[in-house]
Amino acid sequence: MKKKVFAGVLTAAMMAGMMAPAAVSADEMTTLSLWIPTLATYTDDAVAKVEGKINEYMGDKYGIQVDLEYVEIGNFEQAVNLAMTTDEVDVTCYFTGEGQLSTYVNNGQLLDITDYFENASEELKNTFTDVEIAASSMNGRMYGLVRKYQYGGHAVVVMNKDIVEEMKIDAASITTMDQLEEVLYQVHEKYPDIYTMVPQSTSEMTWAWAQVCDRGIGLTNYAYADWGTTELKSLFESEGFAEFCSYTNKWYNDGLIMSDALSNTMEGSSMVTAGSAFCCFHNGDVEPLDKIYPNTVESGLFAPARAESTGIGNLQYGISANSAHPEEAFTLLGAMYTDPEFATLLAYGIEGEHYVINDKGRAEYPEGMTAENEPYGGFAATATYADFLILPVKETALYDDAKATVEEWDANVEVSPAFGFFYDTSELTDFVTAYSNLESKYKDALMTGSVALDDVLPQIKSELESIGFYDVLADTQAALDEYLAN
Amino acid sequence: MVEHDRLQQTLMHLFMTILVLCCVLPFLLMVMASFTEEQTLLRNGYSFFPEKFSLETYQYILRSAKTIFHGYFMTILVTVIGTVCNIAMTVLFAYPLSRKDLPYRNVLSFFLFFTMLFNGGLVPTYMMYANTFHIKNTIWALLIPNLMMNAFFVIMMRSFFTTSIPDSLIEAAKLDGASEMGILTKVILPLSKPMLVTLVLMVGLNYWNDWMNGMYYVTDNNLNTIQMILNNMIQNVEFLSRSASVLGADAAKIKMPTVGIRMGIAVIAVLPVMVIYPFLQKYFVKGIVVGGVKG
Amino acid sequence: MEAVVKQKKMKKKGNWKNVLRHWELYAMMLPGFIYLFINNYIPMAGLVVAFKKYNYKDGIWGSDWAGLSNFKFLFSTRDAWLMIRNTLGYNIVFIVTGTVFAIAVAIILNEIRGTLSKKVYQTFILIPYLISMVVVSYIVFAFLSSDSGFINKTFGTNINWYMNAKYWPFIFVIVNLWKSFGYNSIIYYATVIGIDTSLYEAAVVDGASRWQRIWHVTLPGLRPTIITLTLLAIGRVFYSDFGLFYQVPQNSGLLYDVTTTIDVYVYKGLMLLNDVGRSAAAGFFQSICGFILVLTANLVVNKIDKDNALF
Repeated sequence: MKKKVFAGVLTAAMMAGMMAPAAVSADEMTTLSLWIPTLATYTDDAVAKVEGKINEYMGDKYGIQVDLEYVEIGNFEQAVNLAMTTDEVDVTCYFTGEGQLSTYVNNGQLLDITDYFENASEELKNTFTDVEIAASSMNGRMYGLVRKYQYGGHAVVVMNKDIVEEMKIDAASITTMDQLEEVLYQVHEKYPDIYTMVPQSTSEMTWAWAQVCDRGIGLTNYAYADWGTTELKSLFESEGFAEFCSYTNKWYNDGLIMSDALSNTMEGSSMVTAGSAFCCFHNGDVEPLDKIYPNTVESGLFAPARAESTGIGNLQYGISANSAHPEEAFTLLGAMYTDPEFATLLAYGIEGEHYVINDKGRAEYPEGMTAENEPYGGFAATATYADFLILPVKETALYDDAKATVEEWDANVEVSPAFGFFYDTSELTDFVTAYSNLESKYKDALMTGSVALDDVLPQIKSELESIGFYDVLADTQAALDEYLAN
Repeated sequence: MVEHDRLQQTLMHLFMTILVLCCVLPFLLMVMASFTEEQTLLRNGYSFFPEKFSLETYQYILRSAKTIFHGYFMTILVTVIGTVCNIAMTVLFAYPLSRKDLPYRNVLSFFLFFTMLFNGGLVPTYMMYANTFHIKNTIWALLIPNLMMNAFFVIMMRSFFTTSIPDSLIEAAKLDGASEMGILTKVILPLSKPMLVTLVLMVGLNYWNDWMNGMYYVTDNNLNTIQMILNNMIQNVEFLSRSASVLGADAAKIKMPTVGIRMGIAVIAVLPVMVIYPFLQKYFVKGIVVGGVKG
Repeated sequence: MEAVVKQKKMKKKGNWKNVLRHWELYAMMLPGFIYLFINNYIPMAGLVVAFKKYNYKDGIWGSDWAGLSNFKFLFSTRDAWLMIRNTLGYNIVFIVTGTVFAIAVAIILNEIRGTLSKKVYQTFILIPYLISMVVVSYIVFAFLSSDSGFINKTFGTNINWYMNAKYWPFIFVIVNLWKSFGYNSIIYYATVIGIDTSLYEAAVVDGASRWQRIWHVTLPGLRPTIITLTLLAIGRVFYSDFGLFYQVPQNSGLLYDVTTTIDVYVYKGLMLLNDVGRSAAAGFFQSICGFILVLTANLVVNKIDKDNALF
């Protein structure tokens, strides 16, 4: 009997735990948890210290307290998705690079912030362009704020500097696959012992979709189109993809591309830097890659800067649907974009302790500190914070005014004509999973050139047919045409 | 006869030596990779005799010595406490199950066994531990979920008790007026040393190798165990290679641990077990002497 | 004989008394019972999400029912047959090879003389178990890489391992065996050690050879452990080690036909969807199938060898 009562109590506790959010701390001010992915090494002491400073400031100014939750970037999605099942999360970062915004929204993970945003300060509203607002919206409702960063990117090839100089290659003049091919054969002849070309990362030949085709149309995972067109195709039947693969397949068969490309575990850039490979494709943006990777030279542009449908603001900040304090959470969210003092504290830490402003007015590490031993770590990994345009410019930056540089870049980017179009796949989940598996089976093998497209295309088509791909694509096309017509 | 025996012994030693080599050589390759200079590793691939040695990996590890040692400390703490609790619960559950005279023995066995097949899944388990028990960012998070008792070990222990402890021993102890607890501790456990040690080893390894609980329930660096440090590193590398495009070219500025460092951490996570295990082996002593009991 | 009669009598007298008589034993089981109840049974209530369209805002109980639709994605393509075949096929081969090999090693460890070498062997065969699957995947790559791999370099072959599906069933069996045999042999070894020495002595007195002793004493002594471990393994035949089938082959698309197990398919398909309901459905399917298989197997064991059945 006793056991039964005990079990009953436990079950009740469990049910309560599953349903109702737990009580919040009894402090007078609301404490909001802010989840940020990080790649840097940080110590809990430093984070606690910065948190203390932030709370002094935020308490005075907004009457809220912040609980910083840093999670290693590799575990971040897993950890935050779990935490979002409860009320532990208020404001969080989330990745949408592969069109996952629709996933978050379909799962009901994110709070609809449209109304909050409409009533927000002009300063916050003016921070975002229409394109950026569209990037964090679905069906006309807004679910988050994109990270302020440049749109999309261009396609280049990164080459080993020693070889370029030794062979007197004019890197900047190489802008087409044919020109690249000529150089690759020359390099291969002269340096047969190194890889002439390697994938950009592991088995992925390139991330520079500006060169291949537009993807992620309608924030789906299956709709592609050739650049500049709005005719939807399967990846494997798009012209850009076919052309890309015909080159890489020839190069692969002639031994120019590493034969282990499909099982590669390394970054292309680090192999090029080390001299074990001559070159790899790469996506680029505002900052020149040869400034980032030592011992490399950047080619001319293979494709101009373009932004795919999913390529704007692929890292966003939003409010968990289970947050107990949505209003305060929105205040915090807004402050990340409009309050430079808070944003700087959050990203760089405490001035004089984690970073200093030098006599040129730029931020750098305090004396004796490097990325490896600075305890807060934000300075080394600004990439995951909401808005780097309002932070003090870093000493290492190549521009003086981040905002102007990015605006100039954005103005020249070719944005996907289907941008802003959203196709609801929430009832197509079975198709989406089947397609994911199908694509992962062929994509890398074709792009690295390990397999010839002509050999497998009939098979791919029949498999696409069998999962109902063409019907779904036709429906998507119809919706897109309707969207474009309006 | 003796000659024949010697031949058999030689063959068996030969066989085991080959097996040991199969196990050790890949490990050695890993160790060598951690001592190979990064550039050489990229250019020449993996080798047992790298062209250029480098201590960079271990210098890197030494630089973060504080983190690593703290990680060791946490691992050892969790492993010791967890193993003790687990073994105690396992033995206490297994022994009654091994008694053929226990009413509802089959029902209880089924209750136990069922947990091996079905589990509520990650999300409900997480909700319970995070919301109801509030174990996030506490040491309990590393000790309790899924590791405190495992049906597999209980079943192993039970079948050892059933097959290796003669019923007559228990009957004899009962006639001497011993309590059930007394029978267990004074009669049965001393005879179960090999199995107990095996379980200590296996449960200990489960705790030692665990990083899942850490990933789900811990964001506080002070609770990081050595496996969590290794896993964080590997997950970060995986993430960067999978979807660094999310971060744009900015990601390139972040220096990731090299293959050598990943191998180095894997090596230092394995070493302590190799040091401790030989000491456990002295309990692997043959023979239950069934003395004082009539067969 | 007397005890059996006594027991039967007891049953007739009513169970309550009998239960009370064993209160000490039940008390011993209480901590474990509570733990299992909390850690394993309470969350099982959450299995309902397999039948729901899970929505984070509404939680487990508030989300809409979805019937069996969460299960459909497992069977909606022609890959369904492929992944079930792979999952079952590999597991059966793993169980057979793993058991035979581990027993062989355990027996050799028992027969071998030399305390020091025994210790050395036992320690070193455990190493592979300690290395995480990701690191194993690096090691396998170091051996199989076509340009710089140890095998191609040493034997002068030019095999592109990661592009030829035909090699991989063997590679998986070898890697799995390599990683697990040490651990399993130690379980069996502990059981061998526990076998009553007087049985061996009696066999020696009867003039049994080494092989006869192994055949007539050691193997029968191992029988319960073999049956238990195999039954437990059968319960998990619909599961697969994700790391082994995803990370070790470096997720190479060309190996798809031989690497796609249920877990791999689910992972790849749901990676971007973060779909709690479908993940739960896949797990539930795996559990149910394993459950049915193990009940059947246990029934068979019950018929043949009642003492060693699981329950």
